[in-house]
Amino acid sequence: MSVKMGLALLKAELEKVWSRPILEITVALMAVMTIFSVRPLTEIVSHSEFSTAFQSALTGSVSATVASLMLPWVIMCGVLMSLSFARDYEQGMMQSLLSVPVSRKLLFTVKFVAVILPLTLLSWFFTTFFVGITFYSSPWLVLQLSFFALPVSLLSLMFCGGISVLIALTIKRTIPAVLTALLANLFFWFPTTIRTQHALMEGAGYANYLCLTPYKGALVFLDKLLGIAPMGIDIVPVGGSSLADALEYSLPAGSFAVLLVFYAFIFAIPMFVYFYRRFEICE
Amino acid sequence: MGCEVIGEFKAVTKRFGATTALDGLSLKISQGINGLIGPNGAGKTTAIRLSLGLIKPNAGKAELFGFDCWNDSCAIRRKVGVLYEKLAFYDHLSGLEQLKLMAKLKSGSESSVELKELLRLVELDDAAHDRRIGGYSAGMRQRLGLAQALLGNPELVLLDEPTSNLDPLNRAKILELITSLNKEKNTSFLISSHILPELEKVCDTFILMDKGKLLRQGSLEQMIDKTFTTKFTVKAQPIKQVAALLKGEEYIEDLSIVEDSLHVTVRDVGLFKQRLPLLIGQAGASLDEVKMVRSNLKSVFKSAVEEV
Ligand SMILES: Nc1ncnc2c1ncn2[C@@H]1O[C@H](COP(=O)(O)OP(=O)(O)O)[C@@H](O)[C@H]1O
Ligand SMILES: [Mg+2]
Repeated sequence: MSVKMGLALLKAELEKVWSRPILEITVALMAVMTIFSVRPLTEIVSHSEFSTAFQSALTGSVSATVASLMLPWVIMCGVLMSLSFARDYEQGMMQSLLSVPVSRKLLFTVKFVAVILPLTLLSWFFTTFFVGITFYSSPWLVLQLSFFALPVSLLSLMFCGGISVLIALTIKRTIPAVLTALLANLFFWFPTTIRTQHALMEGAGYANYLCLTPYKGALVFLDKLLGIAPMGIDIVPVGGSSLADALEYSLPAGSFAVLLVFYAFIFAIPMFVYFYRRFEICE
Repeated sequence: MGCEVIGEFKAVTKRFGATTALDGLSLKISQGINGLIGPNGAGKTTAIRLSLGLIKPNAGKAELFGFDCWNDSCAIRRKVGVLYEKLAFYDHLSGLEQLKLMAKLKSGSESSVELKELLRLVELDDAAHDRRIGGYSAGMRQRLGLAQALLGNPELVLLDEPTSNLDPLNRAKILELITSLNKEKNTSFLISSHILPELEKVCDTFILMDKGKLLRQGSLEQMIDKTFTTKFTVKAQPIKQVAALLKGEEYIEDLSIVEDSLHVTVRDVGLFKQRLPLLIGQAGASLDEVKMVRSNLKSVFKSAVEEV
């Protein structure tokens, strides 16, 4: 009964959130980002003579693909999630749905899932498909990636969604909420563009901690799962300690997994509880 | 129609920051058609939101069918239908699909035939049933909203300004529909409105409120009884002289000359009727007409507001 209700509601929400140009725009953005970031096999082969170096470059390219896919996720998830909550609040859709015996828990879950689920599936599909057709010669790698990309994208999207709901339910106005959510998520995404190695070599000490931020942490976690060790981390920069001591390289994969789960729930759970226990709908 | 109480607000206070929307509001919702009447900003919408558990009172307690409005709102929403002032639907769905979805959410499932019947009841023309809601006019949306409020045979239907988007003819039709539903299915209603005359005809009980407080509650007769003053219009010649004479009488509450007649508010009707001919005789004036002004909702409301 409750499951049937949830599914009917989810269908309507999915259709509403992913209406006409939204899905197309997301797919196009993701496709463009993936195509540009996958390094063709030929390029990698011609540059790497040793098999370990080859493997490293290969997986490095794979993780770069995921990294660049992250920008469209972060943008779409931030925008759609804050839009979904703030606009529904502002236009009275929330009070309309809560006039039938739909529990607040169900409504929150459905709205959250309606944004997260398609994005997770899309990013999973894009990584698997594009990496698959480029690196068809390493099926094991493709399989591994396909397996790991799913939870990693899900968890990072949950962080993105959680913080966007927080912003939407605090600001309660559609346009300001969407812009704020976009900025906040871009702020957290920004560290992924910084190469820890390079920054540390330049003597930028803060770079050591960037891997603890949510999106960068997710990428580092994926790298570790795929067994990617960046080349040249045994170099000791002038006046500094060895790069191998940096958090990004010294912490085990498990700690990043814990970190990622922590981030996934840090906003999502409190917002869920806040929504069903206290949130007042009076627009 | 029974007067059984189905809902009650006990000293409910609701604040939004510095504004106090409901200020110790106590009221009873009875079986039948209840009119919730107050000027804009009186707190009608807030009271309706509160009864469905959308907002939590700062103080006091609100109950419908014995369930607490904030803690057991799901149980209430099974028995209650609502039409909000602000209408929102899944605009990509057709009217019929929207109703189907809401029916599924409300009571499991409902047949298309029944839903179509409901749409016909609120006079949403057949051609519109399968059109996208996004293309509906304001009046059509209002009708669809009403149909949605009536889904699953609710025991009580809360209507927040249900006729605001309709023309006078259609307003009358909607009110007729409400009356007939009340008669046939024994559905109770709480209708909020600031348009007094239209509610006067359909409601059994009235709840008058202003600035978040209850002013009066009861049937029209009960409320008129509570209004201790009665208004008369007197036509006499010469009018100024009669006015001057009446001004001296202590049972006259208020007196004014409007065009060629005298508007008098009287505290003691008996004494007034007894003294008026005497006074007229004394002045050598002629009395043309004395009429008691029929109290209507508007005058009751006006005097209630002035009393506070
Ligand atoms: N969400 C809100 N935030 C702040 N003030 C509100 C809110 N909702 C209602 N109010 C205030 O509460 C009062 C009552 O509003 P409302 O219940 O909408 O009145 P009515 O429906 O009778 O016109 C008004 O002064 C209004 O400004
Ligand atoms: Mg209102």
